[in-house]
Amino acid sequence: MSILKPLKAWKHLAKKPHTIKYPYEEHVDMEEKRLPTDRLRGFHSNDLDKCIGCGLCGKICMNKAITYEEIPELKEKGLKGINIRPVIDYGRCCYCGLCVEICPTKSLKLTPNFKLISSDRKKFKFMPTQLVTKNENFEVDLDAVLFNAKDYSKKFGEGEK
Amino acid sequence: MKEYELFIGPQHPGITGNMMYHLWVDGDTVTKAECNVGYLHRGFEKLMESRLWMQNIPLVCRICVPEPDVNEAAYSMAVEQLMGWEIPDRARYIRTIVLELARISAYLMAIGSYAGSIGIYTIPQWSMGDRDYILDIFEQLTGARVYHIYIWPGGVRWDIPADLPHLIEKTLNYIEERLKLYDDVLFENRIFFDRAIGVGKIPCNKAIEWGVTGPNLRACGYGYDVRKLEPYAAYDEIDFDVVSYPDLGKFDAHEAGDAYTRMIVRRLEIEQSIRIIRQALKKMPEGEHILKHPNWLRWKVPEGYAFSRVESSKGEFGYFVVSDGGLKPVRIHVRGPSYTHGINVAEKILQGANIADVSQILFSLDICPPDIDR
Repeated sequence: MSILKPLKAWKHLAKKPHTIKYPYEEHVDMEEKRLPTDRLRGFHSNDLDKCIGCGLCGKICMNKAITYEEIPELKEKGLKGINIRPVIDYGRCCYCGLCVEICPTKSLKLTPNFKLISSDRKKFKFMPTQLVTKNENFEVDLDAVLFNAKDYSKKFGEGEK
Repeated sequence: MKEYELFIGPQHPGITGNMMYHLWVDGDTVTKAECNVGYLHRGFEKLMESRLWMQNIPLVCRICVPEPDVNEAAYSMAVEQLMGWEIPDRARYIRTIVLELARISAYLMAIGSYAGSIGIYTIPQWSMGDRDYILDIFEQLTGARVYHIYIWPGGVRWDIPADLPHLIEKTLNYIEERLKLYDDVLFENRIFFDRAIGVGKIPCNKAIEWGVTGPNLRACGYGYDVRKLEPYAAYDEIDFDVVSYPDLGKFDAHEAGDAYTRMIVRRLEIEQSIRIIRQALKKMPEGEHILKHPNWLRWKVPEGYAFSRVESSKGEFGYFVVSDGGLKPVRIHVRGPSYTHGINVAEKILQGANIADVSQILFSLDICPPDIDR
């Protein structure tokens, strides 16, 4: 027991803080940024060509976050299975990853992207596609995702109608 | 002086989360305390009855927020008992490492919030920061920082990445260094001695009768630890000591069962946890990390009931699981340590306490309201 010992905490005055500012300042290098690890369970990515629309991910999801949307153009491409693909509501998703573990074709995956900011709650529900991959800031490129889903239907004729 | 009533919580920094105490106060002394919970009720036990066996894993971890892994481990152990599974050796060691890392992070949180309650605000800043280095390990190992969903029936979800033992060792060395500073600022601080010794005493002869477990019971002088008495994971192959009053190592033993002894026991158990993780990393065998699961949507667990228990940083967690051989459990009962500590014990030991000591008594019991309101 001592009265003076707690004063040792003063030496921390000259030390750098644990935390870093966000958005990252220019001098922060990549190692300090504490980028998310590869295993981090963030938003999904789905290979729409590989997915067979079996519906197991929606059955195991206990938050009922997964619904399905039909993409009729997929059939014209001559793909096996049913032409429905999962749409995930990130307002409900708890990122447990059971849907990924149960996926028979391993087309559904979790990516380290975790940032999604929007004032519109409808934007939290979208169809994961392959474009949701690692980008430098680990933010979902929402325009790219939405564009990709639209693009998919465009590619197979809807755009021409 | 006239008696008056005082409500502490649920929105109060001096309360252990989303719960409330209704105090009857005479001058500065509490004459009666009544616990008021229900602010966090999510109906876990009932909800588990309507979910498949595997769907319960992401749910059980929410029963104890600072230390979710104990729930996953206890639930998984109960399911393994029903299935008659023997988990692989590597999984047992990985479970030990995860549970002990979670224990350290929960103790850091407990120590930080306790120090805040007696006015030493440096420690909460440090301990919450240091805890994040453990969460970094969890992020690499389990893919999440708080709710890991990592311990599954039959083993663990993923194997340890090749570079992780190095990071764990680095973090443990860092925490060991930091513990010396914690000692200087909190555990050998005159303020801590004056505030905590003799405060909030659990009568040692009543402790078992009241259902006290974990560090709070060990502070009363009972060397009771589920890890030793009924070893689960790989604790039977690992050498560690049960810290109990009056054997408090380099710290002086004062009174049994008071806030001082409870916090010192927690401080010393961090060292034991570090010791356990180092041994487990060394002894970890190669091999499989999980047994093959049946199809989750058609997984029927054989009829029967099982009880499993796990030592958490708060006390003893127990899971009683009943199955009728169906797709879903019939009944799951959770025995949480905070239920006894927060309601039964706190109401009794708050009587006669000073108002200024109420929050430090509650924090020294390390109450976690989600497991009261489960």
